[in-house]
Amino acid sequence: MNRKTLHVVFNSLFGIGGFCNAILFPIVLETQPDSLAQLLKAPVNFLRQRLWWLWPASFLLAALAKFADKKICDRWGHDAVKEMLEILREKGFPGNKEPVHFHRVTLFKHKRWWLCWRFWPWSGWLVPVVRSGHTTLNHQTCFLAPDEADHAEGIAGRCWSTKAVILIPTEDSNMTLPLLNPEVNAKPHDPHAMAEIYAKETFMDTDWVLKKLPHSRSFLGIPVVVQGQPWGVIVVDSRATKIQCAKGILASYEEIARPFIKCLERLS
Amino acid sequence: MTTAPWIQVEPSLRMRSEPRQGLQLTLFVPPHEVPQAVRGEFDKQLKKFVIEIRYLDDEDFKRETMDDTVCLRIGKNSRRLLGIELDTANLNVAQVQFQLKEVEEEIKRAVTKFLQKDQAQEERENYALAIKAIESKGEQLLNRSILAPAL
Repeated sequence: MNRKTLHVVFNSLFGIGGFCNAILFPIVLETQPDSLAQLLKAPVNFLRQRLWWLWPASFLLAALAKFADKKICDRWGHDAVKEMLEILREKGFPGNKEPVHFHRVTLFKHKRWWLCWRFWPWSGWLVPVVRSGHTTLNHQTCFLAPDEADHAEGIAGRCWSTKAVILIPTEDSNMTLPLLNPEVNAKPHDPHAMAEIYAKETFMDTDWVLKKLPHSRSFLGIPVVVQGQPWGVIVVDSRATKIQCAKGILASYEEIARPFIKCLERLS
Repeated sequence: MTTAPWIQVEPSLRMRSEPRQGLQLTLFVPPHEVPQAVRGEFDKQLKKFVIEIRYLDDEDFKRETMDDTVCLRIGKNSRRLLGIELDTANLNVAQVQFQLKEVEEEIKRAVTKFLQKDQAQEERENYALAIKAIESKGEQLLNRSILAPAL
C-alpha cells in the first residue's frame, strides 16, 4: 500500500473514530430505545450495551490513526527536504567522485527542549533533522543555541545566533582548519594544540573536539527563516580545505527556498 | 488584493558582491533579508496603490502609518519591509503624468521616518535593499497606473 492510500485509510479511521466519539455515541447514550422505531431499536440497544468499551476504543482509534498518519504519511515533507538538500550538495561539489559523507548538507531545527546529555534540556538546541545522501544522522550531535548568543556552539549555533551566512574559511583566506584525525594526519602535531585551534575557529569546546575528532575542514552555515521567524540552519560541511562554490550553493538555496520553506512548515 | 505579476529582482541585487570580511568568517547578507521580487497595483478596495515586496518566506504584516500619503507594511515577526501603500489622492503627483522620482522620494522619506522611530532596525540592510529593489524596478512597477482607474 503506498503512502497516498495509507493517508486516505488513516484519515478515514480518524473520521470514523471522531464521528463516533463526538456525535454517534452521545446520541446513543441520550436516546431511549423504547421511543424509537422498531428498525432502530436493535442497533441502539446493541451499541448501548457496549458503550463502556466502544467509546474509549473509538477515541483510541482516532488518536492512533492521527499519529500514524503524521508519522508514516507525512514523510513526504522529509523526503522532499532531503531531495532539496541533495540539490545543494550537488551544486556545492559538482562532479565530485569522493564518498558522499565527505561533503554533507545537514538541516538543523531549533528546539527549545531537547535531551542532549551535555546541558540542561531547556537550554535551546539545534538538532539535525535531515541530511543529504544516505549517511547516518546522529540525533545526539546537537549544538547549544540558547537565547544568550555568546554561548551558541559550533557553526550551526553561531549561524543561528547571528542570523547571518557564515563561511569558514573564507574564499580568499590562507587559513585552513587543522587535520585532526591521527590516522590520516601524516605529520603529527600536538593534538591538544590543534584541537584548540579547531575549536576556536569553529566555536566549539576543545574537549568536544578532542573527543569527536571531526573530519570536516570547511563549513557554510545558512540561516533558515519561516514566516519571518528563525526556524533553524543549514550547515554544509566538507573534508575539503575550502568550499569553492559557496556562492553557487547560496544562489541554489534562493532558487529552492520557497518550496523548501513550505515543506518545513510540515516537517515535525 | 493585488493580482499583478511579480517582477523578479536581478540576482546582482540579491547577492552581495562585496562580502563583509571578519577575521575568519565571511558574512553575506542573509538570504531571507534580501527582496526576491516586487509588484505594484492599484488596490480598489483600499483605494491605494500598493507595492508588495516578496522574500524567500511569506509573513503576515502590520501597518505603520507614516503620514497621509504613505503607510508601510512591516513583517509581524521579522520587522522586514513587506510593502508600501500609497494614498494616491494625497500624493502630490501630476494628474496626467506622475513623477516616478517624486514617488520614490516619498517612499524613502517614509522609510527614514520609520527607522528614526524604530532605531533597533536602523542597522539592518533590509530596508536599503528593499528601496533599491523598488528603485531598480520603478518604471515597471508604477506604469500599471498609479492613479485610481476613475481618476
